[in-house]
Amino acid sequence: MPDGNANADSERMQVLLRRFEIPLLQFATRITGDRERARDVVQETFVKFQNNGAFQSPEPATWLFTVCRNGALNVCRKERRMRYLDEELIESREDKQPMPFEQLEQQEAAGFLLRIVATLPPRQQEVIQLKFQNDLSYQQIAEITKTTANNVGVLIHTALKTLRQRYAQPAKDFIPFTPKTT
Amino acid sequence: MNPDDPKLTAYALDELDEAERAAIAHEVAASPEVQREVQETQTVARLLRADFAAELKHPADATKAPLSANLGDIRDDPWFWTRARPLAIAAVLAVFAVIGLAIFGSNKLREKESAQTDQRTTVPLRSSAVEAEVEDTQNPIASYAIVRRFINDGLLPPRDSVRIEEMINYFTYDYPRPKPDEPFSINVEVAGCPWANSHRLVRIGLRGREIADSVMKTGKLVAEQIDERPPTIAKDVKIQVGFNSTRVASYRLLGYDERMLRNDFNNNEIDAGEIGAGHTVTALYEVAPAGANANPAARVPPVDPLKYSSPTEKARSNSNEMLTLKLRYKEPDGDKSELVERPVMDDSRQFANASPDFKFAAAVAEFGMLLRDSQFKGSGTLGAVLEWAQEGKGIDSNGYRAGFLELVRKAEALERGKKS
Repeated sequence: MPDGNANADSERMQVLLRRFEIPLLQFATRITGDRERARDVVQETFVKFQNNGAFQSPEPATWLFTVCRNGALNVCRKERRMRYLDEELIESREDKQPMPFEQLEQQEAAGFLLRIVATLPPRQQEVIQLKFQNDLSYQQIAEITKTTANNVGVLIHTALKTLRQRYAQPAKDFIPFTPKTT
Repeated sequence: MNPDDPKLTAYALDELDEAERAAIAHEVAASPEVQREVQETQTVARLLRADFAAELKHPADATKAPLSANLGDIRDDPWFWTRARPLAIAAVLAVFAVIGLAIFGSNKLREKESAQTDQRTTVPLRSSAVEAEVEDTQNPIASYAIVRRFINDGLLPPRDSVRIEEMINYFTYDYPRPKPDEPFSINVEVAGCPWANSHRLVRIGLRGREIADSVMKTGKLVAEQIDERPPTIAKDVKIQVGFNSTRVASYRLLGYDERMLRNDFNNNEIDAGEIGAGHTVTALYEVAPAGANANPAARVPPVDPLKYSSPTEKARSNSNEMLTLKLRYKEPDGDKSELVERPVMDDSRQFANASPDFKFAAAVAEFGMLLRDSQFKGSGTLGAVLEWAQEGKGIDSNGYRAGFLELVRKAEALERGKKS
């Protein structure tokens, strides 16, 4: 029953798209720094995925993130793009009406961990995203990022430690108590 | 077990196989310190998951800084792992430090220098945490916002994120405007310490001269209006609190780093850089009066016997003065140091008769101590904090104090859930 198979495949593809499209997009955006290019990369990833028949595999996450990552890194290498400035985003922010203080503050606090994440070394950012946005295991992350599960453990441990140190840091407006050094 | 072991993080994230898991569970059970470590890792993990999930819902706010700069080329090079990684971390930190310095600007540098050369204790006079939050996204967020975030997410905040001095100064207090010829008003109130029966609580509040009313909104600025800091109205401000050892057995400044204070409890000088127009700053001292039955549980450090050391001070040491507040400052473009001296009497006021602002600040301080499980928390409970804050709510035109009450109620529910 070729028709029945095709229907089942297409249905499964829809399910996988729904589940992974935005996480992959987010992942590729962090690597390329550019949403449009990330979109291309993710689309390409899904095309490969379907052509390969890999979407029959019971654990598609590792495959998808690996191919997506390679695609994103290739784009960066080809274009030698080191940094993107998303002017559209900046402009749209400037257009915004002043936000009430409390709302602004809530929003700041809501994303504060991700802003600290953005200051971590790239390798740590990558594994943190795979672990906490996509809920992958150390082993899966190791396969995707071509390293060992032990290394992934060290990276995540180091990153979490840095995060904790950062929110334990006094806000800089508060000059900390400086004890006498006698 | 070393709390800084990646295995412990793996354990907290449930990444270990059966055998390793069992071995570590045994060690975790044996050490409260290791237990706390595991809990904090799980707390951060939970919050990270929440933040990342929110990011998927609003992907337009994705990060703008690409990882690609060094991810692509060095990822498979083993050298990276042995040598480059620490260097990379150091480089990131160094860049961060430079950015931080640039944003701090010369004012902050001056403050730092004066702090180093004077070797006095420092307390902030720039109390607006708002500026810190909006002017630099890499900047740590003020403690109150972090604490609120954790509690609203159903988690009790990690100890180190609770900074009492920042929480107290998150709120504005109704200090009178300065007199025309003075850059700031000095406001001292003494009343009973609600968490330690025999102790007194001293609140010292400063308010800078209002010369920029048009850009201030009840002390909190709307983000887009902060192009510059409010004008500096005094510089090289130093606050010294001299305690009269005839009246005071011991004292401590609330907040800052309690561990540091234990090593330096005799240092009673506070020093800060500039004070800006409209800024308020509030500090609380807990004082054990001389002769009273010192509460050993509160462990307030002993007073430095050398205070009230000048001849005039010695002459006054048998008076009713509890402390003398000395303020030194210079006009923004002056070189001459001005001195303001204010003796403070203890009028034996009970906490019940204290001003609403006093009660509210005390409630915030005790809330912080309870969240930190501080050794100085005394007899207070979250229920008592609610009572004090309710009594001290005052007019609360902007609703911040109502928000605090709600937060304490949530924390109370979390505590109950933890115990049951």
